[in-house]
Amino acid sequence: MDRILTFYLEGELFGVDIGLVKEINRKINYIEVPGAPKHIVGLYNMRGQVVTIFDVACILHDRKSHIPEGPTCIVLKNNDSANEYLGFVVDRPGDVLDVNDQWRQPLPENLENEYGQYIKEVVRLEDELAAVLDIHRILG
Amino acid sequence: MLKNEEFIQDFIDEAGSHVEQIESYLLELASNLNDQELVNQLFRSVHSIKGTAGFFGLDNIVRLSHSMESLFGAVRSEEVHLDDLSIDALLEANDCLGTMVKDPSNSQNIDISDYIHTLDAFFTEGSIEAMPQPAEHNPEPAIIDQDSPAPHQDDNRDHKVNHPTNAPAVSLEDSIRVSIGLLNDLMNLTSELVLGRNQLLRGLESHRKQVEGLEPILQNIDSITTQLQERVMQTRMQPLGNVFNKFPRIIRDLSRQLGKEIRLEMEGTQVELDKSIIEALADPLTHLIRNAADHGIEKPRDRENAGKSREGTIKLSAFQEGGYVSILVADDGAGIDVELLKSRILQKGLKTQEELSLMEEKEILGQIMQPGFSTASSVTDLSGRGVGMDVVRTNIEKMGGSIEIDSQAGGGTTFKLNLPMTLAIISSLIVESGGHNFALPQVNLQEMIRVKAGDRDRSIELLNGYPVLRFRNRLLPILSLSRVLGLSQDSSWESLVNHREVIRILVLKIGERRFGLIVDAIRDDEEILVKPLPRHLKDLRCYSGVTILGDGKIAMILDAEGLAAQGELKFPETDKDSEIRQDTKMAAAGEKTMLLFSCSGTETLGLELSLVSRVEEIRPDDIELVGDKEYIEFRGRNLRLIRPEEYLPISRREYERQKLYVIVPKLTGQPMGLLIGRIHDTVALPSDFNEQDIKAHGIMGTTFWNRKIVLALNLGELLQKAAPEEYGEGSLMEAKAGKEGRY
Repeated sequence: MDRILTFYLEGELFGVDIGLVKEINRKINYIEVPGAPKHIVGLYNMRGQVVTIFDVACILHDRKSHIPEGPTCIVLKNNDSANEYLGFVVDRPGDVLDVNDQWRQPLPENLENEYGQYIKEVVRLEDELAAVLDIHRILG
Repeated sequence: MLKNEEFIQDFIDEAGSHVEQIESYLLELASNLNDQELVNQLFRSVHSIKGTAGFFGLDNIVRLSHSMESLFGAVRSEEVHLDDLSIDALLEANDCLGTMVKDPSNSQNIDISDYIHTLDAFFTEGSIEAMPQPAEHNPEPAIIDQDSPAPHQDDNRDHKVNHPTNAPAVSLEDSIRVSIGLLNDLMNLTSELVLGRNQLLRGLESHRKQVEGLEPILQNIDSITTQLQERVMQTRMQPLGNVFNKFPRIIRDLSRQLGKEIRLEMEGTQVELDKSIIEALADPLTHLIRNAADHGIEKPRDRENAGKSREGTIKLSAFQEGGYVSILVADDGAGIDVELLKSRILQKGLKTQEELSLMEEKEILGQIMQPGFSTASSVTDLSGRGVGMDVVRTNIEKMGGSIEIDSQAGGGTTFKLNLPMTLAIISSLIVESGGHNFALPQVNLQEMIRVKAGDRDRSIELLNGYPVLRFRNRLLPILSLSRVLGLSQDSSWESLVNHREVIRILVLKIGERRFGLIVDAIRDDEEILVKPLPRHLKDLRCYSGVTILGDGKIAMILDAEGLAAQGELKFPETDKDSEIRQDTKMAAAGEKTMLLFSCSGTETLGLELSLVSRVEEIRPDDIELVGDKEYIEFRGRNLRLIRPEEYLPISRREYERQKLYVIVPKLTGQPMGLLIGRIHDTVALPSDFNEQDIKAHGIMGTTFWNRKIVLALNLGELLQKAAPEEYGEGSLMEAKAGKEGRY
């Protein structure tokens, strides 16, 4: 993986392979789905396509996170098997970075399994660490 | 060997439809051997296959079609007369032709000499005596890549499904072939256009009058879009005849194999359905038809012994009903023995005796479509109707349809399939609950009801702790959409029963069941494009899909069946039972609808439902003693309670339950309620009570329910006994009740 898109979730910095990202949408107008699992924020109409939006922080920490009015959402490219778009809410997007090999860090051993299985690797940026997410594993 | 590869597919399609036409003409010819016009058409069809095949150098196809053509030529010039045997031979030759046409590159490897000999023999000798039985030949060439060398109708079906033809009425010159992919694209684009039109109309709603000249433009766009959508939908519509057409052959072959005389009647072949549904229908319908021929229709001798005509009839009919198409498959055969079916169900442990005794005959018959029922072992003694029926049902339900079964022992069996005409765009009602918008398919909607506070004709009441709506002589179980979906935490129904505002209830139908769904607001009718439920929401049974509304917002599409399941809605009474018929009508029908309940003892008591005003749930602590009489507070008044067991010859115990009920009868001059322990059900029972066995003041007689004795209460006598000071002779109550002829 060469380039990542960084973003903030509940104050923490994360990254995702930019090759998986279709687009970033701000101030999206979504609907909640009564009865849906708690890690699903709702559905969003992206130019006629229905996008299922996830609360990634909820999957990582097992608690519903606060979703602001008109949140920002990263929509992933759809894999061809299912003609279906998935996305997730972020506090704010960060940068697109070329990952330098020296920045890569081994996974800290103290990452609990639950959480650790969703992290592909950790990269050290100038003054903070970003956990790169295995996003397809997270969204199932 | 094959020239012009790019044209070969056209040949396959076109020759395939000729082969199908030949088959249906031949079958027609079999019943009308002298029809010259049919022979002419047959000649032309075969000739056209021969011509094109010659162009591609497909010698085998040319030779076989030449033989057929020659025979038809001889028939046309009246040198040869056709009969059943020669038509059979032609049908088999046509099957072989169909096999070769489907796979032209292999057609040279197929041995066609038998067919040619057989055919040639007909017109060289002009007689049939010397003919070997065509059935003795193996009509399945071994080289052909086919699944099974099974009966003819199977491979026949294969190419039918692959090459559905246009309606026979359309001549080839007036139609062109368009790929399905293109049609699907057109349909999706049109659907988006419809949504765009909806958004446009909504967005410009307030400016219609302001901008000069806008109104007619909008109207024009509106109507053109609607027409365009209808036309595009039509392009995918195909007549049911495309599926029905293969059944005459199947029946013809099956009656030979089974030694039965079967006539197939078909009606409504012109009714049109979406192509996807037509295709998905082929297998289930074939199954039903084969079942009817195989297991429904009896052998001629058995039919004669049963006093029927030797020839059995299978009737296949289709008709349109609203947005639905119904297809009936009816046979006049042996029917299904319900008693035998019951014992089979018990034996398999699918239902208990109790459950069975509560079920209607139709429901019991429906059990043969349950997955657990279909095993080969039940074939013989149950006329095999269970085999594969669960698959049929699943297939029908997958396309949004339903299937019902009706059968009379000795009189035949009828299957009724209800199918949506199309799957893509449906009309729906937009409703709101808990701040969310939902789309409800109109097909599930029977009507909308507004319940005003204090309306006596339609009021929400609690029956056995569950809310019901008394409406048009019927008790309708009720769900609240916001509660089912978890949008409201309110767990008691009190606020509903004592509501102040108008309550909006949608009456939903699922098959023959009905229930009410309370919503906060009703918005609009809207044509919606159904999108499948996203993968991660598949488990939510309350929804059947997603749609994008005219305002661009997403709405979930409600699933009536799922809501009923999620709300744990019980349909304890079928429609027939839940109707609270008027006394006079009930007497005529010989049945009364009774509310069945128990007091502190074990006896089951029954009270005519039409005498019940309401049923209240109370706790024992609510009961207050004044002197030796018990009261509860009920709607701001004191309601005197009487315990029926103190006045009737039934057992008496202390209540240990924390939940008791009070029946408030109608027509009581003084407010008074019956304190009871539990409510069982409301059921229709024969009104000819046995008045001999148990005689007591306050009891009208006895009857049976679920193999238990039911004591039918005589409310007038009971109240008189309990409170003689209120209900003496000639009191209001007596006068009123007397007028209804009850007491």
